[in-house]
Amino acid sequence: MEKVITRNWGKPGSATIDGAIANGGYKAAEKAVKELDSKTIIETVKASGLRGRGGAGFPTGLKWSFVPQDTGKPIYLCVNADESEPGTFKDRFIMENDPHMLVEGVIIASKALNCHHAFIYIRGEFFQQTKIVKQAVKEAYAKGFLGKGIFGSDYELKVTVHNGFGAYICGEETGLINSLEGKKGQPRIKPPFPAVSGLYNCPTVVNNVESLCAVPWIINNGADAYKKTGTEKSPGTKLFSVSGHVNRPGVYEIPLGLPLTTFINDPAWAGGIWKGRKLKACIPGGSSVPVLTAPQCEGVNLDYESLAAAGTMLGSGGMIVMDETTDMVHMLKILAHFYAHESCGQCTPCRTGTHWAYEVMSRIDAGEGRMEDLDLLIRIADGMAGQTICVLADALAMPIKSFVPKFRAEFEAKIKRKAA
Amino acid sequence: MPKLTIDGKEYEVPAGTSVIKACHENGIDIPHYCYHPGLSPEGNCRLCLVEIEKMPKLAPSCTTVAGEGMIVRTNTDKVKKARADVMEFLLVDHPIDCPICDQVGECKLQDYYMEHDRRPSHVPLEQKILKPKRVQFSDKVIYDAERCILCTRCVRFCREVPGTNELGMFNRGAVSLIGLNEGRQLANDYSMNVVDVCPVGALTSASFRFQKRVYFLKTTPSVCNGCSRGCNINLDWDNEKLFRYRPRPNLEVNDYWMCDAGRLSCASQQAEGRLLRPKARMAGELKQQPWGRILDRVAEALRSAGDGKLAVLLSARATTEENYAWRSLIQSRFPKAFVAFTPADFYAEGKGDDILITADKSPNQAAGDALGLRSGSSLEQIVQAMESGQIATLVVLDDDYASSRNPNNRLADRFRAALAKVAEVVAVTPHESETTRLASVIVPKAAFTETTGTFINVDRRVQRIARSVPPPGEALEGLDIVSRLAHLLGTETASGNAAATFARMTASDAAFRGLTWEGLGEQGALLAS
Repeated sequence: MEKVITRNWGKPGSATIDGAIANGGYKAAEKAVKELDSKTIIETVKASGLRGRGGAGFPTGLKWSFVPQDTGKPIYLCVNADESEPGTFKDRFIMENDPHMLVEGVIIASKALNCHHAFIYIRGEFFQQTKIVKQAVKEAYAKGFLGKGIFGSDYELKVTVHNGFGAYICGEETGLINSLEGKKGQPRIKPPFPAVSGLYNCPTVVNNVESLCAVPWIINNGADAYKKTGTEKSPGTKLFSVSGHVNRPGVYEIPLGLPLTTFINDPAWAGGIWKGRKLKACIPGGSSVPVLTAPQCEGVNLDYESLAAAGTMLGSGGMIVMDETTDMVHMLKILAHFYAHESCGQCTPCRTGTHWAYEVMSRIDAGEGRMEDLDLLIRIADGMAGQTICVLADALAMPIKSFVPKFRAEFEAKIKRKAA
Repeated sequence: MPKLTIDGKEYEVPAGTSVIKACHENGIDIPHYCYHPGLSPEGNCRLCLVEIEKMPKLAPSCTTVAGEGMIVRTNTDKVKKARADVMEFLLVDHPIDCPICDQVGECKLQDYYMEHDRRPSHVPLEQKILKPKRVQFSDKVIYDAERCILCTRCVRFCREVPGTNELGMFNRGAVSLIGLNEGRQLANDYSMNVVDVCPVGALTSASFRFQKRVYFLKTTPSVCNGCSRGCNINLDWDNEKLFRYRPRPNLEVNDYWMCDAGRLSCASQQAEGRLLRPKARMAGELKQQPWGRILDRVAEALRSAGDGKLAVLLSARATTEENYAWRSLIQSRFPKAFVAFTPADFYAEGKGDDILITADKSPNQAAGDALGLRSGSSLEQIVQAMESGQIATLVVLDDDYASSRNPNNRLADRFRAALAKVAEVVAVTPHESETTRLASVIVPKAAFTETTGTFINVDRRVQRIARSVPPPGEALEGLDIVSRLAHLLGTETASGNAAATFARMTASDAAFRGLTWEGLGEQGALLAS
């Protein structure tokens, strides 16, 4: 497999613009700006089958094509670098190791969208990464890759780097837009979708860091080359950030379609369960997706379709591996705490449901639960799922609805321990 | 005009109508909290979810625009379950302090719980989240965060109607609450509307709370008399006492709102200073008299003054019918008497605003034009006549021309001095004033909240007011007083009945042609142009 995103990681100076140029960076951007028109770029990205790497997996080229070009309003590109999902840390690595790949992706996407002002919205806690990206943007301006007359053309692009203030929900695209506008980070009702009315009510595209980083390679090598890796419906490579009880936690670029167990056990990837223990469960795509038991992990491939067939999701590729000693009740309590803390408070089912679920999980975990709490948890999850403006409620409902039935014996044991 | 199907029946609605509005306007109830017809939709309470064919999830009917061919279902099991779930979520941390909550009886949490949930609480009281109670947003509005369901109607009201943005939603998740933005007070002229828009007991009125259980209140539709806008209001009263004004929706006049000054004038309407009994000056001293004696004395004063020595000052604070009845009486019995109406700028205060408040602080200035009362004498002519000793009897309705507190009352000093030269000064008004103190006959009149009739607002809209509580003491409705006088003077030009008087007016006065008392309804009607 040819590496797309991580190809320059570890090379000396890869985070500087000279290093990036030496590694072949900005060629695609120059080509896009000078030679390609908007339609060609969008068609190429569409043809590559690249899907949004932030979690939803929506086809990137298709998203770009929804932006109306005739409204007379400016068009904005927002880069979603608000990576906050527990277990997900791939964008952080990209920004640390190859920030210029992101800048290049921004230039190409902006050219495709006819956008002249792009915003990179970086998670508030990413101080170091913000510094790196700001430096990269500064260097790109200095080289004439950003600003007026990019690469000697008449195309102009401004890039603003902006920090969030530490809210998970600002990674939801409309929450991000509200936050950028200086408002409280709360998702907006859709429709209208950002493509029609987003930042400052103008047509807006919000793209994940990793999605944009795949674009320069696709422009350089063509859509067909990109599709050679991966599966038919999930082409290309994907970064997986694996954490938990594995020998080699970290960020890996894999060809989509790689068997899950291969990824966990192969010494080239996660390197197997640590301390010689056995696998108990795996959350494949970030903490909000349904958990898989060890038997369910068998025969599942890491691509959008296989994981969906297995009843879970590829999500952001934030994999959490749990060995046989893991306390699944405690694990779910931690997740519930996270989502209760991060609920923006706007919609009734999420605001109350996440907190209520956390309270119930807390008492079960403390050995003070009641047997009927297990049904109550499912009922709370049912009341939340699909009933809110954004999917944060679903992001807790899905773990609840997978943890409780799949590990029911463990939950019951904790509840019974009190009685004993 | 898209056609959509709701619960199997087809409806046609104007383009851009939300599904919830389409339902409500066709008599289909959709429970809701955050939606308010006068505010932009926010879709956060999730109670108005409905099933729409081809949509994967339940859709909020408040933010979904009715589309051609849309098939909506509002009563499926899925919808019912979602409503019950939302009610359960809303009540999880609710303090259930209904016994000490002012909202009881008009609380949407109570109503919708009974309608859509009816399940016992799963969360013991001691486990509920505690939040601030009794937060003083201003001296008029008090906030209880525990009862708050965070529908943000109040936030949107301040943002969208007065445009002052005092309120915001703070914190995140279950500990969210509504608060004042930093350094702000809830100080706009319309702030108390947040109490009305609050569907629960979170925002209560400092002046009304703990005064009365609302389910004891009777409601009479009326019109505010605080300025010439004529905001439609409901008078809430019980046991001969008026408790509060609430705005009554009228999209042609005040939408759903009213100003704080108008709302708080409720208290002063019944406050001290009301004239309770008819009195007359005998040997220099004001003495209480029975109605019969007083009316005889007034009738005699009118008759003896005759045409040339009689002056009558009609008022923009009195109903159209009362003014009309006086006009009819004078026209038929004393056609040469001096008749004037409140000067157009007499109640002018500042500029008003571009929301509801107008500069003219009287409710019925337009009646002066509609009844042609400005073509007679001017106030100045009457004062001159008084000064020259020409006037023997003066009748003054409502307006306090003797007071110099009103900067627009430029003739105050001359009027006061000239009163000494008038033999009989008859003041017909609800409230004590400088003028009543100098009058020789005091005729106590019902306040507008105790009176049936009409006011004509700044846009020439004729709107009905109606009697709620009875007038205090022996006071009578203004129209009653003038019709009794007419009877004593041997004419039947006036009737004590407002509807009958209105009917006569539509027959005799071109401006009112085509209108009927019933036709005015609760929303009023415009004068013929």
